[in-house]
This record gives sequence, structure tokens and C-alpha cells, in this order.
Amino acid sequence: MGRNEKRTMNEKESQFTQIVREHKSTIYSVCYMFSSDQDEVNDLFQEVLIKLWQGFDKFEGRSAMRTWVYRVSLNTCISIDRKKKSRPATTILDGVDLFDDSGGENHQLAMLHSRITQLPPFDRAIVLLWLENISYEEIGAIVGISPQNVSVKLFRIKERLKGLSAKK
Amino acid sequence: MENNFNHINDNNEELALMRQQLNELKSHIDRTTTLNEGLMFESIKNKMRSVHCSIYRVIALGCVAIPLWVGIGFYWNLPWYFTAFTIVMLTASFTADYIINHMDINTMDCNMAETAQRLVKMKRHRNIQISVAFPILILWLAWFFWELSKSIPNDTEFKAMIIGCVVGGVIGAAVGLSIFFKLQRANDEMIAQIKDLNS
Repeated sequence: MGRNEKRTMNEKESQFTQIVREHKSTIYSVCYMFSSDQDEVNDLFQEVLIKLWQGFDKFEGRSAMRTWVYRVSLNTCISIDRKKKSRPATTILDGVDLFDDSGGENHQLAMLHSRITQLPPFDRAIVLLWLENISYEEIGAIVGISPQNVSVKLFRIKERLKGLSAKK
Repeated sequence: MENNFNHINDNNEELALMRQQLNELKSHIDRTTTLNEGLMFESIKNKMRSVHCSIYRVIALGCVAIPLWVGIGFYWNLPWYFTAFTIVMLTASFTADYIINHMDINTMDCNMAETAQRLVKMKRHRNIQISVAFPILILWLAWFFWELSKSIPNDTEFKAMIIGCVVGGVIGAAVGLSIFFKLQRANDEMIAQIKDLNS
């Protein structure tokens, strides 16, 4: 690899690392909502990063970075066949076990996880994006439905969540 | 009316709580985690490598299976048209397998619904592949036994071959069918979700 190519690769890696640092909580939260244990979260996180890297050169900035990160994260989470563990889960993000509630700190997080994971994958995506204060237009663009449909879906999701908490 | 108002308020409080919980989750992740950059790029490079490896594996399998089959044809004096048909079938199978399983789901440009539809299409192609391959395989096996019966004069050797093929075939069929039904179920679930999304 020539010196110029190496510098470009270094720059690319540096930019990519910066983006991952800025959006790691977004990516990790999405993976958490599509998993049932810490290994799965780590596995999904790894897969999302790989997809982001593969698409990094093609990202033209037509949408906001956060939208792109969300789109890739959500697409990866619904695409991954988790039974097919071709690679052992690696811990790219050290220091967290969201499923460990021994100290009681993760109780609120567990409540959120329990509510959201009872929804089907598309509804999970819609409610997560809505909780992030993302506009209906943007949610529609990420999920692939009209803003009007987003509004209808959200109403139904809210009713469903209400029903779930009433049962408890 | 008052009950409805309270009901809406409860719902809003609940959603506000969820939003708060999500913010707490994200700040918890930001506070308590460190990104292992070296491992991240190592993982990415390994993935790129494994994609290339799987391509080479398919090519290698083809390079081994086809000459092997030619050798078997010569050893048992099987007719040239049978050997040729088997080679064509093997080549078609490897090619279809490669094309279907390496369909690149471009997650950059697709929204979630499009990605899900591509996944459904991929799984449907796999289902079609198995639906077509299975009957062809059974017919091929019957043809193979028939050709073999003409080529192997020794009755004991022939019977041993048949038993081995039948046992192997039954095990292979059981595994293949269980995978087929699993993919069919996953396919149906995804289709139902996409329909629900657009309803």
C-alpha cells in the first residue's frame, strides 16, 4: 500500500472511530433492544460496526449522520440471523453488562427493555426513533412508510404499551 | 371525559418515563464504556477476510467435487451422459448457492421495509432452490442406483453401496427439510410484519 493510500486509510479509520464514539450509545441502545443477552448485544454491535464501515465510503451525507447510523443499525438488527453464530462475540465496547441487575442500577433499563422487546421488530424501531425525538418524516424515511402511517402506527403502539403495563 | 383525560395523561407520563429511561440508558453507556478501537478494526478486517474465504471455499469445493465425480464415473464405468449431467447439476447447485447467499443487502440505501423485503426475497430464493433441488436429487439417486446396478457386478458390494446411500440420504434429507421449514417460518413471519407495517 502506497504512502498516500495509507494516509487516506488512516484518515478514514480516524473519522470512522470518531463517528462510532459519538454514536456508540445510539448503536448500542438499538442492539440492546433487539437482544436477549449480553453476548447477543455484543454480537449485534460488532455486526453494525462492520456494516457501517462497509457503507462508510458510500455515505454521501444526503441524510444526517444520526439518521444513517440509525438506518444501518436497525437494518442490521432485523437482518441478522442470531442463531448463526459464525464468530464468537467480541467485546468491542468494554465496561457494560446491561443485563446484570445485581446492583439494582439497571432496573429502569430492564423495565424499558422488557416493554420494548414485547413489540415486533418494526414497532420497536418506530418507538425507539420516536423516543429519540426524531420527526415523523425522518422515522418514515428510515422505516419505509409515510409520515401519516407513522402517526397511525405510533398511536397503536402506544395503546399496546398501555395495555402491557395495565396487565402488570 | 375526565377518565379519558386522566387516561391520556397516564399514557403521556408513561411515554415520558420511557423517554427518560432511554436517555438514562444512553448516558449510562456513554459514561461506563470504552471503545476498543484496535479490536473494532481487527473485527472488521476479519469479517472482510471471511467473506473472501467463503468465496474461495465454494470455488475449492467445486474444484474438488467435479474431478472427484469424474474419477468415480471412470472407476465404476458409469456412462458419460450420467457423469456429464451430474457435473452440470453440481455446478448449477454451487452457483445458485453462491448467488443466493452472497446477495448483498445494501443497508446504506434501503429503508427497513426494503431491507426486510430483500431478506424475504433471499429466503424465498433459498426455498425455491431446495424445492427444485430435492426432487432432482431423488431422481438422480434413482438413476445413480440404476447405473450402479449395471456397473457393479458383485451383489454384496452393490447392496452395501445402496445401504450406505440410503442411510446417508435419509439423514441428509432430514437435515435439509428441517432447515427448509425453519426458513419457511422465518420467511412467513417477516412477510406478516411487512404487511402489518403497511396496513
